[in-house]
Amino acid sequence: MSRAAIRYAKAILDLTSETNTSKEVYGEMKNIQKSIDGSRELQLMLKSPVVKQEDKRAVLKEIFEGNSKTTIHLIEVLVDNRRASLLESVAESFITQYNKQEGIIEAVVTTAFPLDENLEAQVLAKVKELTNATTVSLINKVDPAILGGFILRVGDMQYNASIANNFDQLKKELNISR
Amino acid sequence: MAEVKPAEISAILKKQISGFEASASLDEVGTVLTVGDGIARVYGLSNVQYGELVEFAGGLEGIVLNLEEDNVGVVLLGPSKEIKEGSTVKRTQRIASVKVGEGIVGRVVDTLGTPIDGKGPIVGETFELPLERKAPGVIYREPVTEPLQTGIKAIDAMIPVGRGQRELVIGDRQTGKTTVCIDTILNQREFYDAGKPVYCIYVAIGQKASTVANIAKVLEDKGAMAYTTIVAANASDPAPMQVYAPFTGAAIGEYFRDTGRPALIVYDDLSKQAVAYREVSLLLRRPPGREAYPGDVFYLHSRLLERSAKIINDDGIAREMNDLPDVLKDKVKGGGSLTALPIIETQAADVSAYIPTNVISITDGQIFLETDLFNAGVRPAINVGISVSRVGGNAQIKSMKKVAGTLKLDQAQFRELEAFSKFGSDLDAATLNVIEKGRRNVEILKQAESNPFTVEDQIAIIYAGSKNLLRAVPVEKVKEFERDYLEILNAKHRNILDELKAGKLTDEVTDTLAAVAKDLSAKYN
Repeated sequence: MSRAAIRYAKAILDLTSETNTSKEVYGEMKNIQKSIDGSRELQLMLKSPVVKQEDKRAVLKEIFEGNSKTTIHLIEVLVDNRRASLLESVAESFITQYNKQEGIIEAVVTTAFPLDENLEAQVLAKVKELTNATTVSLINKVDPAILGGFILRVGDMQYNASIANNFDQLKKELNISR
Repeated sequence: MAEVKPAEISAILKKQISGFEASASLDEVGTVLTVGDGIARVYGLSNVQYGELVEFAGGLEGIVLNLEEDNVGVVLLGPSKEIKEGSTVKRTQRIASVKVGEGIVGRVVDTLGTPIDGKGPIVGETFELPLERKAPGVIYREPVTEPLQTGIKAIDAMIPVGRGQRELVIGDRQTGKTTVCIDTILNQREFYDAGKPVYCIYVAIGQKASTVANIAKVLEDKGAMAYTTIVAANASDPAPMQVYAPFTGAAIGEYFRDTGRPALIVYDDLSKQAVAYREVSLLLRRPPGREAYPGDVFYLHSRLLERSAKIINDDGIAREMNDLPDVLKDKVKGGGSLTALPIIETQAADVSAYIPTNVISITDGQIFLETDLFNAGVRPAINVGISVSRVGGNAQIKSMKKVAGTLKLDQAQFRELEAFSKFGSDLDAATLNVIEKGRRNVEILKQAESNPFTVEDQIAIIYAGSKNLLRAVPVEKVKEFERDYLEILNAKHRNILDELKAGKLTDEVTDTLAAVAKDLSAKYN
């Protein structure tokens, strides 16, 4: 994450805290991150030096129309400063900083199939038990390569209960005592 | 190989699988940001420590070498093909280590201690020893007093190396640096046969695989592999492997040192290691210094060479040694030693370049090899005038010390006069005498490759030279004389040689040597 992105994110967080709109902007930032992450075209367009700043501004404004004033202003400022490509990392950085401020723990659960509600509740309970956190925001990633089970990642810690991991361990076991 | 029945294989597999517990693992992880040139930058791993091993997806390992504000620089110990941006990296909570045991003797291994000679895994009990270990402190050491016989006349007589010493071998390419060191390893055969082996480790850094194979073959053919281990990081291996290869060698040497046995390690060569380290450092974006080497290249070599030591001959104190790995604790014995022969290759005889000056200042002396001497047929091409051994004087047996005491000065005087005599002026008898004697001594100090001399033979022939007993022998026949002289002594006067070996130089011994030399030299008139 670039340092510039962290600066922008901090500025917005300070601003929104003053106006008590943090929560609203938090939701919007999550939305921005998801949108950019999900669209390769958008990523390329933002990064491209060939696309005119005005075009970037127009596109971003149209996509994120209806967002709060702060968010729209952020986009304007980023485009003006020729930093439109930073938008995603600014959003990401804002989310981490907001989480830290509010004591929210972000947990990423990787599974081979999408979680249903029942399972999600179970995992949520487990995370709360492991980390003693009150608020947990759960993100579900689907990766068929892990075959089964789940990988739970909270910050830098990873709880790997996937079938792929077990196979890896078994492979090592057989290799060492060759 | 014994035939393995399918049923047995299934049984083994069954046993292994039944003992396997599928368990979830809790790890600290990070995410790869960028990877390339054998370096990965990793985000996360916030508690990782400097020098710790980390594991990438796919099992490849790396060493953490840079801790920065928001990322960690990791050098990869293998090909970076499988690693992608975003893949996870796990902490292992281990530092880089190598498995050492008695079974490692006679093997060729890589930097990670994996055998690469195709003779299967290392057998017997092994101990995991760290690559980076602090050198023994002052109270666990002893002055160097015991000689390490190199079997090379010029070295053993004038630049003696003691057990636990660090003697630099320095010279241009093609001056016989490796040969000097390999000959030294070959000479340890005598001690192996006598049941008191000096364990040898040859570390090849950044050399051609074919060169390493040749050296392994020479050692094998001469029966030296029985007490030698080769650690090889070839030119095609990644730079980090070349940087750490000497540390692997040192870890193996320390195993013998700390279990009370003498060991000899040859680092061939440290200038290549420095170049590999420079490569890694520049890729990690550490600021370059003189000759673009990083600031800590001195520390790289000093901490490596400090690990060569003579350990105090007291088991009780030795057991308290600092930074001792737990696995070795109950095996420690005093009195061991690790002698280092680092090699440095100079460019156009420039010893004032950065790395040569560094290593010269770290080591306890140096052996200079010169192209001019080499081409003039003086082999080994040792320049005795500028070669020194800072502690070796205490590490010569008494008889050798007495016989060779004046040799170095005599030779220095000879060289000065010889240069003078080239002007062609008339010389007085005394000067002529010095020159004639010097010429014969130069002949005596010449020695063929892979032809180590026992210490008693060395003393006998050097005695003849320094007492000017060869004055009747023409210079070109000195080699012949030497051969016959030693043959006669070995055949008829074994007792005299045994006395010399025991360090005694009595009148009886010198009289016999003089008589034999006189009789023999009459033949060459």
